Amino acid sequence: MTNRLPAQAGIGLRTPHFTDVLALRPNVAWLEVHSENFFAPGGDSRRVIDAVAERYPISLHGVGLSLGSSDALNQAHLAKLKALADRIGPAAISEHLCWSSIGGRYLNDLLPLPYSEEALTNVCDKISQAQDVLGRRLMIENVSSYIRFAGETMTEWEFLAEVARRADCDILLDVNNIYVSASNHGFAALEFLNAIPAERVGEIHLAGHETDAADETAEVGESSDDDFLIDTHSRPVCDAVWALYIKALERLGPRPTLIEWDTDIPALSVLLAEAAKAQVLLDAAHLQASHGPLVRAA
Amino acid sequence: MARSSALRELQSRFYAAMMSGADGQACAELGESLTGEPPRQRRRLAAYRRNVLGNLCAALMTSYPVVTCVVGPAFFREAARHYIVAHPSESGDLNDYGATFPGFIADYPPAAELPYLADVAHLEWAVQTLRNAADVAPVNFTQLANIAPERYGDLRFAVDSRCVRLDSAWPIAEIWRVNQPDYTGDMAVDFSSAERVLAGIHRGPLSIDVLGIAAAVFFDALSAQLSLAEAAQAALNKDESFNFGPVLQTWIGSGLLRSASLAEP
Repeated sequence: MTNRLPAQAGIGLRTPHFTDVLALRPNVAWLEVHSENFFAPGGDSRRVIDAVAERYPISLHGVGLSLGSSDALNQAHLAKLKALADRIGPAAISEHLCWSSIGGRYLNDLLPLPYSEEALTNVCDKISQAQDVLGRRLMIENVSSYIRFAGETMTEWEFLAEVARRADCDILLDVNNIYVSASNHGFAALEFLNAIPAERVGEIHLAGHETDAADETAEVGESSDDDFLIDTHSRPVCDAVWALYIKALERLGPRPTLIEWDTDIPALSVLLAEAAKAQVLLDAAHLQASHGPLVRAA
Repeated sequence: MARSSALRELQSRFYAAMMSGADGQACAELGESLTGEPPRQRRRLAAYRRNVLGNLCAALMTSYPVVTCVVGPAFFREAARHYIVAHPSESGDLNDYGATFPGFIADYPPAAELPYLADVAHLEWAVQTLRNAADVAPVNFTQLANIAPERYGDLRFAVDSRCVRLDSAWPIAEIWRVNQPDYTGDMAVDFSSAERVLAGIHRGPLSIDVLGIAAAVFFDALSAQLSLAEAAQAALNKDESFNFGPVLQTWIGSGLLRSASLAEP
């Protein structure tokens, strides 16, 4: 089964917006949810997902499968994901290129992998196992990171492209995460973007981030001149990330694009306004795809 | 087997660094595997640590809003920090985290002055579990029509699985009630009253009822598959004025009792 998300703007459906979305049925092309929040066998969350799935294409976005862990794949978690997918028939299913557990203990965060052959083999094996159980391709998302590991043998974009090739999975390209990691590690975001196999990109994520300012948060023994970016999903998408998104659309053509907002969640109208901005750019990309460039480069 | 792998070693060190102090040995050991200078490594790892502990703490606060309300967010965060290190998350679904928190709170020395807190936490976990419980088939009492009234004493009832009975030496239902976000009444609670609580979603919305001692015995006996006659006798032994008829009707009417039969358990 392939990705059936429309190449339009969508929004992440979070708990504070359940009532509004069910009542107002906002005009947005699709919705994304965190898969785990709908694993419960009953209750309100189940009623909500069943109701929205009747109305919108749904993208199931997992945060807990821990595909990059050296532990065996958590089959119970995967079975819950499959049960949810079988019930609602999502347009797409995605997970992260990260790990979050070791020795059966979970940190419940999207933690970075070392870009090594061992980590690559491991994560490709887990993705293949998950895809076999789910009976469809997963989209795998690049995460933000604040640290890099010594002795890495490839760049993040080489690692991601190779994962897609070896595991035969699709890519969920998080443009904000590219920007955050490029800033934190000093690489060129465009180099990352240009190395991604365009035909594999099934969805794009946009979100807001914040600066962790050293003069405010550094504690004893930490560097006091190290400002870096944290992937908080707590704010509007910044201008630099919109600019990178435009570059991504130029290179990839129009792709389903999601506005993520997970902390300090604003009114639904604010979220929809962000999605409308992405939709304008997507409309232009659709026109360009069917008619050629609207404006010739000088 | 991957047990001796570099990846496994790295992830184990990372886990230890998250669960120990930012300036501790575990961070220094992980630092050997990171690029950059140690002060910068510590700062970046501290960001991960804040995230990890913050996410787990937020999950606990979501499941235990009344406990949070009673002790205040600062006290709760400190308790959560100790709990997270001692009781790691074992699921990739944060909604699963915190089942053992009531037991932890019972033995958490700084909360010793609030002896009711663990029981309140038990009630909150029960509430969370009930709210996510699977739907059940509609109630069916049609078989009662075929049973002669003189055999009613032999009836055994199926109790809705979506309910929880809790006994506490404290008024936990009352504490729960006055700490709900939409509650605007008197906050005074009589802490001298023990409560026998029945929480359930058999009516649809969550209900938290306080039972009298005879009604609690009656319910527990029916739940344990004793016959109606046996359950009524157990309740009458506690309170000879107990009138089980209206109670039984209420429980059947509300869907708490789902079916009846003459079959032996």
